[in-house]
Amino acid sequence: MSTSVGESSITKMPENAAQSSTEKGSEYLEQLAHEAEDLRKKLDQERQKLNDIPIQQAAERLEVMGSLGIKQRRILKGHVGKVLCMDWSLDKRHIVSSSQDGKVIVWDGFTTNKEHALTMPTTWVMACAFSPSSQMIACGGLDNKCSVVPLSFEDDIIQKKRQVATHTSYMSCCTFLRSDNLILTGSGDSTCAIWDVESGQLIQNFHGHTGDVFAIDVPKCDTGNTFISAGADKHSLVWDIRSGQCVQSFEGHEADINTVRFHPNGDAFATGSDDATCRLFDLRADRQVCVYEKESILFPVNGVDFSLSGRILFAGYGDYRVGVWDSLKCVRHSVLYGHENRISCLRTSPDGTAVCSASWDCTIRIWA
Amino acid sequence: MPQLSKIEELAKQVMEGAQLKTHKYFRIAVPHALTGQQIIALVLEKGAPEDDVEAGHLASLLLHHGYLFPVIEHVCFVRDDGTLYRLQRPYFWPSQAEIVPDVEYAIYLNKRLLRNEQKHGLEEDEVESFNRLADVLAHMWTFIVQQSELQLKQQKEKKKVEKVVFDSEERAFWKSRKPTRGAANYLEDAYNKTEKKIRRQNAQGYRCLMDRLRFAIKTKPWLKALKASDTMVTWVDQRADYDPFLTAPQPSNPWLTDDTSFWSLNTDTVEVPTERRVKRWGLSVQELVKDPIGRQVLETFLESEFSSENIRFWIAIQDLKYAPNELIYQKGERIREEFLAQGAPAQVNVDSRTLDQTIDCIGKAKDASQMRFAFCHSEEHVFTLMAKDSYPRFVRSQIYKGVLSAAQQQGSRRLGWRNFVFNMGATKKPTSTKPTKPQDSIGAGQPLPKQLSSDSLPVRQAHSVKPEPE
Repeated sequence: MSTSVGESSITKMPENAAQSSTEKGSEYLEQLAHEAEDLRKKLDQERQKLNDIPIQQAAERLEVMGSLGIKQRRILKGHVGKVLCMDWSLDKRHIVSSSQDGKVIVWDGFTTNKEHALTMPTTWVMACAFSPSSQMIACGGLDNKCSVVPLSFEDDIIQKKRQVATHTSYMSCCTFLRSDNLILTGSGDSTCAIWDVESGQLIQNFHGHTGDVFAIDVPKCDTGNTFISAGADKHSLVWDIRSGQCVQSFEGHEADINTVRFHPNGDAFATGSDDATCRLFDLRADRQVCVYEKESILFPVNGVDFSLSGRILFAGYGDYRVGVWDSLKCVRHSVLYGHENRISCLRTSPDGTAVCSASWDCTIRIWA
Repeated sequence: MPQLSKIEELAKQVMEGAQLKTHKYFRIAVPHALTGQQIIALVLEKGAPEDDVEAGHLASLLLHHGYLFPVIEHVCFVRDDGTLYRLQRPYFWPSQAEIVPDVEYAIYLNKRLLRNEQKHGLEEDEVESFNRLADVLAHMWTFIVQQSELQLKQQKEKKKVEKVVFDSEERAFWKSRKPTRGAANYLEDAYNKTEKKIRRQNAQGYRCLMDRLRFAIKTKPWLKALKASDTMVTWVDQRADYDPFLTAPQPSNPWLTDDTSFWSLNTDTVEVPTERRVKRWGLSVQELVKDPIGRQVLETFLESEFSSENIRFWIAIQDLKYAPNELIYQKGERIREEFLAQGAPAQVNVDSRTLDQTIDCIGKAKDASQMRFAFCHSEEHVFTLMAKDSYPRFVRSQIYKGVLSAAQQQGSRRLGWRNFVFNMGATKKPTSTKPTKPQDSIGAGQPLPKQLSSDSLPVRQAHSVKPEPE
């Protein structure tokens, strides 16, 4: 990369070379970058004219949230490595989790019992997901693959493991797409893709990120054909599932984006980043709405999610804490202490009755 | 490690403000130290924490990440008392030593071996590491021995206090870098953080970006969302009653009480939905169709308006969009036959342009993934129709009110009898006659939502359009 930058600065010197700019790859790219930048500025100017009020001001009419009484209600112990990812089952009580040592565990979070445990042929199982029917889980990581495993108590389920997706670098995130039939994956190869679970066929892929993809999310409501992804290039991209095209992009973060989650209204989303902030972006207003930051927060955000109404934004930090934010008044409401190492993942349960955090301290905790 | 840049800022400020002095620990003099209390007070002043708890936590984070360390006791957090700590020399901060070569570790361990065993002897884990390194680095062991001897010689020239302090700093450094087995390594990076790559945007990427920007400038999508903030605040506020973190769920939150009745009362196959659930359908059409029971009630209502094909069409398309590849053509063809084709049994009311567009898309679909989304124009059209036209009537309808009052009655009965199982046989008549009575505009034989009037499990039937899944 450094050599190509060097080249461009050399070829730039003779002015008359500009005519053959299409041949000179790097110079052409620079020109394109320039044009894009101009357009962006113009767009920003246009956007400035929007007479919207800041969200904090709009939220003034709301009452301040009282004490929420959130406490740790369950702790799931059983992993011996760092827990990297977790997902809720739609039955509101089962949880799948994956860890750095290659273990994937299915828990009944309510009773804290382990129901299934399997060992993947790889370390750093960075992603796992429950299927909507709860009959199946998907997981993967450093093996560059996404495998599905049907859950049953009858036989050794690892025997039934099937590879569905293959990327050219590690798989960082995955989620079923509204049915057991489709799976959406994001990868270190900077692409996302939708796969047919049954046949393993690639249905659609999504090129556009210039860095590793770290997170994806699908809106909760049925209408709409979009999803969002974000990652090391500090951008969040909105994709059209049907065409594979990127339809909107958002920037603002100063470092890697580690996590992204749709607002329950489907028209906005929150991100968490290595720059120790969370941000809220509105899709229809086409801009950043709010930054959730504080001088005493010094570590990356690795997981964000909303309460059912969207009023509360939960953020899991690299400083082991869960921040409870008033998403509309943009202030931190309270802090949940408990984990003893960085939080890697955080998710609200499907009916909003609890929030679950996974951590490098080898535990998973449920707060309500 | 870029994620440590902010805590390092705090470490610098703490270091600037710190007043180190020699403390007495029983009868031992401990130079260059400060107490936990002092550290927390410093963090409170410099780090802008909200309270003492946060200050203590930040101080412990400084300790975990190698900016300070306990001098005498082995504690893994900063105590708000007289426990003694020392600030780590910036030379040993994580930012100064992103990678720690094995050779350096070997030199350090060897140095300790060369010294007074009682004071500097290796711990069990360290012996193990030493043996392993001696094996791996055998080819350069002479160099390692020379280096350690040289460093020891330099060390001897220092004053005694300096020596003691440096020894402790060096030891703390290696303790945080090579923690004993089972102890947490706070400085380790995630795999995806060390391996991530940023690629250069290519011409294609730029062109897409510019197309997007131009399109945005032209269409000004944000104008549609004038007062976007206000809309969001209203949306959220309306749902506060349904958010278990803001309003206690009825009868209780299972995670707090160990009572799962909240879940059993809210399944997708429950005979009578709860009042809150039914009320939520009144918020928006999305809330209604998100709920399987809501969909059914809507279907029942649309049947009364002779337009139930709309919701069935929409559900069938949802099913198609997320179906396995193998079944796409089959399902697509069935939807076309049932809802769109000329003389179709349940032809949906789509204008001719949209219909032509859709038929065109179906005809052109070269593969399953195109077929999957071929109906999207009609889908949007029908959904808008339902949202703008049918839904407002639905909310005012006797059917919706009937379901709501049944839910309310069921709620009060539940409280009175503490009977969580809806006894269909006993309650069927009152619930089914009551709401139908005031139905004047609708035919007298109008059936109620299935789950209120029949004892079959209705949810599965809602998808009667679907081809058999198996």
